Amino acid sequence: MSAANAVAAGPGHVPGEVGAWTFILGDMCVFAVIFGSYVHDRAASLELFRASQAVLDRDLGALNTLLLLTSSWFVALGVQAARRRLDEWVPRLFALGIGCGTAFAVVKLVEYRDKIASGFTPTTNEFFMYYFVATGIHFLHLLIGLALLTVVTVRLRRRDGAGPSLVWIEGSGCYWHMVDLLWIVLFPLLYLLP
Amino acid sequence: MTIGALLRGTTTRVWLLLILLTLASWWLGSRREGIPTEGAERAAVSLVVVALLKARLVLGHFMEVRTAPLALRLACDAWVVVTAAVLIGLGAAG
Repeated sequence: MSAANAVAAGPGHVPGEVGAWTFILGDMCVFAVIFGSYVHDRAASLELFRASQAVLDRDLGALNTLLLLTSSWFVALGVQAARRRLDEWVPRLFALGIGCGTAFAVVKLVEYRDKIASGFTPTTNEFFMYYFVATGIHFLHLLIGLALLTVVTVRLRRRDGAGPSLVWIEGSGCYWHMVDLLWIVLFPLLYLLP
Repeated sequence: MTIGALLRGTTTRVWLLLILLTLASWWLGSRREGIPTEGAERAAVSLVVVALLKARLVLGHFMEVRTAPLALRLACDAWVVVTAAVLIGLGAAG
């Protein structure tokens, strides 16, 4: 580990705060149950799930994954910039992260609109129930994440030095990375499984 | 540390690796026509493993769990391992 990393986050540092991590880990467990339930039901109705999955736009799903990964990259850089007192870069990097996250949301809404226009809704069959519910719950998390990042970014631009603390910057970053992490697992399960 | 040095650091390398793994999975998931059963199972396991490895990279580097207290590191690794095992186990049961 480079000297700069050692200065940044010493070993034993909890980014954000412990309460936020309890929530993050709990959320990850809830999603793990959704993932498991999906895979189990998929195995029981393989042909139905395969046929339905073919309707999804794999390329849009992949694009969304790339957008969210890039968004996380910007936010991670932003948190590190905050720690190194590169103050003018924090709101810029967070804004770039918010931009990519917003692009994800737009793509997702386009996907939903296309599916619904083609007659596929949450009640169409079991696969589409999972598709809409899982990506829908994820979408809500994404919106919450965007709101958190936006509040932090707006407060960072204050000139009176009363901006958000490092704990807030790290915490909102961690929540956002969780949103990214959940999509990283969701994408192959819904769009790519053979 | 300057912004340039930050941009050239580990975080960017991890991001590039995540992008590559995503493209590899996307390619793997695109080769679907006419795959024999064992090929499909192997592909499914590969996709799950790569996904959880990516998740672990995000946890470790972006969420900085790598430098977090042992309890948090263990909890996150437990989530990665259990989730992968459950997904592979339940998927193969079909």
